[in-house]
Amino acid sequence: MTRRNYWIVLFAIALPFSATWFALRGGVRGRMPDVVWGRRGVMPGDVVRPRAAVIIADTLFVVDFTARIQSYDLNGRHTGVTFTTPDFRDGRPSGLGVDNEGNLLVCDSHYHCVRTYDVAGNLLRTIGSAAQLGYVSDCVQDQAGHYYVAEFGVTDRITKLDSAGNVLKRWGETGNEAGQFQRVRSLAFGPDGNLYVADACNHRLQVFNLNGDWLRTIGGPGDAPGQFHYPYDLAFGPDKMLYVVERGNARVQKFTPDGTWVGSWGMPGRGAGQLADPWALAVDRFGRVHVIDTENHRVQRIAF
Amino acid sequence: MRPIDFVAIHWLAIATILVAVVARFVSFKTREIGYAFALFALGGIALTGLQPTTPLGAIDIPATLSIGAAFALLLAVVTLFISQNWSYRVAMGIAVCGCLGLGGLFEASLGAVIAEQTRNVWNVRFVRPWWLVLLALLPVVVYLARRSLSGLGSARKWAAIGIRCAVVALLVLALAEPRLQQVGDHLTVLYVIDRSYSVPQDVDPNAKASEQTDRRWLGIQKFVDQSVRLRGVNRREDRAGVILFGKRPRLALPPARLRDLPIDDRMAGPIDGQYTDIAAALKLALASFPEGTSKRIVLVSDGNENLGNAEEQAAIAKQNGVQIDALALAPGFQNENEVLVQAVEAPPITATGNRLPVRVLVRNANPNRVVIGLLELVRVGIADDGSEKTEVVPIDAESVQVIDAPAGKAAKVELKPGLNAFRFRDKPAGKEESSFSYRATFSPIQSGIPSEGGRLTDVVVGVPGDRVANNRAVAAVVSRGQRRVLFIDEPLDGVSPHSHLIRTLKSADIRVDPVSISRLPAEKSDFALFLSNFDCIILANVPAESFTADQMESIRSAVHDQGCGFIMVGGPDSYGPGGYQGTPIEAALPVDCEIKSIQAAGRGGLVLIMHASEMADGNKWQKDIARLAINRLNPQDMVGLMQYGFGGNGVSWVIPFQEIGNRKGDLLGKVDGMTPGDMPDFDPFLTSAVDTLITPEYALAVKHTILISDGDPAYGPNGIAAVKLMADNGVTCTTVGVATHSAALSSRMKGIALGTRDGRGQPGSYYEPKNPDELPSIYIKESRRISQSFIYDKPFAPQLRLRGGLAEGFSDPLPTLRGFVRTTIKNSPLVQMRIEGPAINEDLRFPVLATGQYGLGKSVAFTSDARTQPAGGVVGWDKDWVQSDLYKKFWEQTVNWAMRAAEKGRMTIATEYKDGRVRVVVDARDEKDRPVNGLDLKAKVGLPKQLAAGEKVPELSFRRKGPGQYEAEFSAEEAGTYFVRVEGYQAGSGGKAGTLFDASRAGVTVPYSPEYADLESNTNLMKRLAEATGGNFYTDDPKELETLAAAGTLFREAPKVARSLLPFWYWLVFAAGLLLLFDVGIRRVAIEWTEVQNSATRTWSKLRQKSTIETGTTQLDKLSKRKLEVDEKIEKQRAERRFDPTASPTATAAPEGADAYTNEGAKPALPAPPLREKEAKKTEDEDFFSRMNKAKKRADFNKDEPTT
Repeated sequence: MTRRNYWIVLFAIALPFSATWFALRGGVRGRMPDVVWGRRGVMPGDVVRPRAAVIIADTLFVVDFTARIQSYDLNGRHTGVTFTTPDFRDGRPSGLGVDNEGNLLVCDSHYHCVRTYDVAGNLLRTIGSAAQLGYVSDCVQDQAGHYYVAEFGVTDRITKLDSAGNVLKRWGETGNEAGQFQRVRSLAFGPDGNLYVADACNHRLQVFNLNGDWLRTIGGPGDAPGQFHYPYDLAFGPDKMLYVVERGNARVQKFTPDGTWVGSWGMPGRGAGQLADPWALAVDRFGRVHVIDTENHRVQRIAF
Repeated sequence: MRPIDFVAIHWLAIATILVAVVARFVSFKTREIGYAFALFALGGIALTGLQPTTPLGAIDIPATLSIGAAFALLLAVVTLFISQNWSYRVAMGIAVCGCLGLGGLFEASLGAVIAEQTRNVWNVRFVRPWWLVLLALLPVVVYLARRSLSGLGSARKWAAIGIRCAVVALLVLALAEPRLQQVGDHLTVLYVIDRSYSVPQDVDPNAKASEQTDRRWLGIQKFVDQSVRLRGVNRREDRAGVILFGKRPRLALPPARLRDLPIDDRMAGPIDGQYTDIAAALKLALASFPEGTSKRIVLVSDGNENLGNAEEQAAIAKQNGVQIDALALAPGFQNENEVLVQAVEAPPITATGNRLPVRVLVRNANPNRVVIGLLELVRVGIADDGSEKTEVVPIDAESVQVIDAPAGKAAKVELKPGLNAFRFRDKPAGKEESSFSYRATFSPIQSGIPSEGGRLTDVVVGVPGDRVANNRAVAAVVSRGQRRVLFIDEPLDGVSPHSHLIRTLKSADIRVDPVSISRLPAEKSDFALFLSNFDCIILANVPAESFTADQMESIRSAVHDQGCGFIMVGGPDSYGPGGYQGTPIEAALPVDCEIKSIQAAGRGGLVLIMHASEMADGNKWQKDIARLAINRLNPQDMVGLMQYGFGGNGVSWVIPFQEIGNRKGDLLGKVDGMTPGDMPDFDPFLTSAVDTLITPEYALAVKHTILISDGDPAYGPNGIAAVKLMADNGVTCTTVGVATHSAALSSRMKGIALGTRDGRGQPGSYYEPKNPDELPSIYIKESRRISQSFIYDKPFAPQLRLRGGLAEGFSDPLPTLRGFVRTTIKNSPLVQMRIEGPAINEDLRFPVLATGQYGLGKSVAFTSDARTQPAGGVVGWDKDWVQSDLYKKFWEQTVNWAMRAAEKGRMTIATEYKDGRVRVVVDARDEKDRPVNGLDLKAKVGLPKQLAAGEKVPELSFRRKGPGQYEAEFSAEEAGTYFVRVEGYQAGSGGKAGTLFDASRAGVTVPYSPEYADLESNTNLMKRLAEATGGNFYTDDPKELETLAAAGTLFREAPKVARSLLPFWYWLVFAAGLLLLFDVGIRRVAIEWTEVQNSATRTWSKLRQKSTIETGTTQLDKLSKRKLEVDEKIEKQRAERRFDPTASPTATAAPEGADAYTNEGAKPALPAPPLREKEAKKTEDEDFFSRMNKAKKRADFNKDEPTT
């Protein structure tokens, strides 16, 4: 056998091996997360009831119940940034977002404002005031630089602000009709450019265009596929798929952008692949979903 | 990394490299093993823990290498099986990667494990060491074995001898009973850090106000972090933890293995810096150490302790082998810029007619500067209606230090360095007030250095660095009792509902001051002082929720410690229905407010809904609330508790809805264990609550829900529907906003409460407590909604059970009463049931009038009411009593019985506070002003705080100091007013109890926490703590801290803690048994190394389908060599069989013939070797030739192959 033949044979054997390997992993993947990390504690890197997350340039930012915002790489190694909002005696931030410049938007819920930090944790600016905003749960910025801020508490609505922080438009009120909300928890722009809203206590998602016109509703209360129980966070993956995490059903559901159910992952519990009151998720550029497993004080990474 | 650390981590790598170098030079054969070793070492040094972050995430290099090598090896082997191909270079590559990877993975940890195990060897102790003498047998064993095993050949013989020696040695060791002493090699260092206010801050004066930080604290934070980080590799298994303390210590971080330790105040939660309790912190530290490690405390403090005794704890630490390294903060610090009002000195008893001289002592701590400021002395009296009445006391303007003294205003004074005394003249107390306090306040205006001309230079505004908390002091003056009665009730439309009773008492010449409950002083010390004006307190139909916990405790203390009389008059808001169960007031009563189970008028159902609070301690509040609510329900009532739990719609019943029965303890345990989650919306909870409560099977007469939340869950259409359902079905919902975030959220919660209706159309209530003291009253009131079975409201004939005393001359039978509140008489010899109401059975009897002694005071419980107003046409339960002759007599005698014994003024008390202790001096004189000796003095102290569990009221024991003078002391650590009441008894004759000579009271005020009185650091205490425990002493000089942290001194060796002696002799016996097997094996089974090698070669060539013979010459060499070996072997074996010593050329030590014979007897299996020899020879020959042929056949066949 020639030297070239040797390499060909080697390759021919390696191929089925690798295929089997990936197939096996894929089979397991349906149930088990790739990575489970996080430890309850107050030391840097540890978390106590993490509640929101966002990924900026392959860095995962997590805010927890001690009001600390910390940075991690996509495998859960603390990359050194730990900071808190200026005051948190009235309550801790409960939402994170990213703006067009790649800065971190911290929704300081109980201080009625959105604070912009750079990725090193330096406060750049603050938008909103108690007069303008209720409890802020999430904030996103569109291509044109407009901010969309979700509010809960007394005012169940979405406020659109210009890049200087002036209110342009508001829509929504408490209720369970189309276009009404009960506790908006999360906002995200879909691949179609529309705004997807997690209407948590109405157990549904609503889709609006950027002028706030109601387009459609996805899902309703229940635990069947495509139904929700307190959907608390949603995000789109690089494959344009929609991921929704539910506190009530302790699972993540995957949808096509038009709302067709594709699959779900997770169940209530304390083990790997089980979730306890998950509040948030973030999808990285590889399409892996980082689920904030709040009451287990950890993060689970899955790819599905 | 320091070189020493490198060696500590990678010693195994270094050793391996040495082995590799040696192997390189020993022989050609061992060279490759040497390379492997070297690669392993290299991997360990270069790759350990190497995890570079790539776009794909962190990659663990050693693990990747190892797994890659394993995978590649697998592939290569499979390739070999399938295509009979093998690449030497690839194999070498795999080997290199594998060795490097394994080195990176295991070198360091393997080294650590080996080091750890080696250290263990030193910790072996022998229980019977004299058995070790038997080790002297080993040479004998060697000698005997050498002779008996001489037939085995050199290697096997020595192996066998070695094994035999090992067996003997193991058995000897086992006999000596070795035990592994598990010594805690590791160390736990607990940083105990003082966060009290006495630690002076070190603020950069040039920094902007917003950027001012305490550099001292930053320095300590850095030091702790650095000292953990730089503790050295050999201490990496050591643990570190943090306790932060002020008044109470808090374990911020339990001991754990850490890389670094950034500390933060937030780790511990709120710390009360008003006091410093080093002792409690040390105690907590001692309790927090993990078992089995050495222990060291690093105490970081200024040493100013004002609670507890640190030196006592240090002694205990010493006994436990715990060293305390003391790090003194701000050594030699003296707060010069401090002004403090040190004391207000007022005469203890007001003497009529004289102007009272009051002295105020103000200390200016600066040795050079003069301070000018306003000094104000205010007399704080309490008006009859309970409100505060203040009056500015004029200063004695003759003093040169008084600059300006406007009437009715604060005087402008100048403080010289050191102590300054100012005199004030006050007119005596008016008739109506007998107790009052003086409050002195100093507010600095400017300070400067006095110069020649009396002018100030270097003038600055105020006194920078002055602590405001100590610029104020109070003195309480308690006067003689004037036989006054405090009558507390709740007026209706401004008129007391008990005015007929009040008039009646006044007509009996009793001085009664009716006070509305809402006008009582709220501040604890004020209320206590207010109560000291009265000799008897009457509570008439006032519910418990009207009082704060402090007020109730003050009343209890006034009765117990001050001898004040106490009467509770019943009504629908008193006793059980008033919610007094478990309160301090119940403790003072002769009855318990709880009653045993009664045929209920209807049972109540309560559902509690709990939402997690964002606020610190909010969840603790919730638990307190739930506990209180459950505690107050009756056994027949039903209760359920739900919270947000994950899964489903979130409704999770921590306590499923159930009858309380006798399971109260279990239920309270469940409350303790609950962890409410953050509820997204109220709706499912309200729905679930109403559905549960209106379930017909429960047949609930009262249905109530309590919802506790910060108000931010959503409240949607379903919730609104649930509230409507509540209103329609007589279910009430009370909402409690704990730390609600906004007014709008509060009004929403209020809306829920007001939207519900009970059976009578009353809505639920909304509360928004601002501090934890308000919680109990809320829950008393709420649980009162449920429990309705206390009140008996039918006419009955009360039975007089005890005549005489208080009940002297009462008419019998007593007039009818129309109702009363059921209570349970206390089971105590000090309690009497004087009048009884209708009983249910022998076990369930209810008092109408009960009396008892409680501490120094007497207390009375009258469970019927006094609400009848003949004038106003109001009819109460006591209508028939009002009309009878009994009424006036009953109340006059009851009040007179309860009232405090008269104070005749023959005893005076002087009190003085100094250095945390109060000195009480009693002066006793008889009517003719002659000193009275031989008094038996009994005293009680009323404290400014509520007692914690296990805490005791200080006891006073008096010593006689002079004629008629007695003295005692007690420690007063907390700020506030202490009341002392002393009763003097004259010795009774002939074993009789003494008679009361007189009683007297006094108040003494500790103006502010001693934390604010400390002007300098107590570095000496820190030194003593370190010395007492053998620890080191450091100061907080930044340079010193830096070197200290870098040197790892805090983690130096500490006194070892021996944990246990673990016996392991049975393992030795087991090992000996195993070795015995080997011994047999080695003598019976001979492994032919060459044959192993051959068969391996055969397998290999089979796999490659070619001969191992590569070149003719080398193969021939091998063959001839092999032939020589085989011949030798045959010869040797033959010699063995023949026992012919001379014919065994290879035997190194030929055995003697005689020994060989004895040996023959001991070896019954001798025939085996010849058989083996024959077979071996045969197969070898066969092999030899067949292989030769095969090789020849294929020699040319594979010529174009790469050489392997």
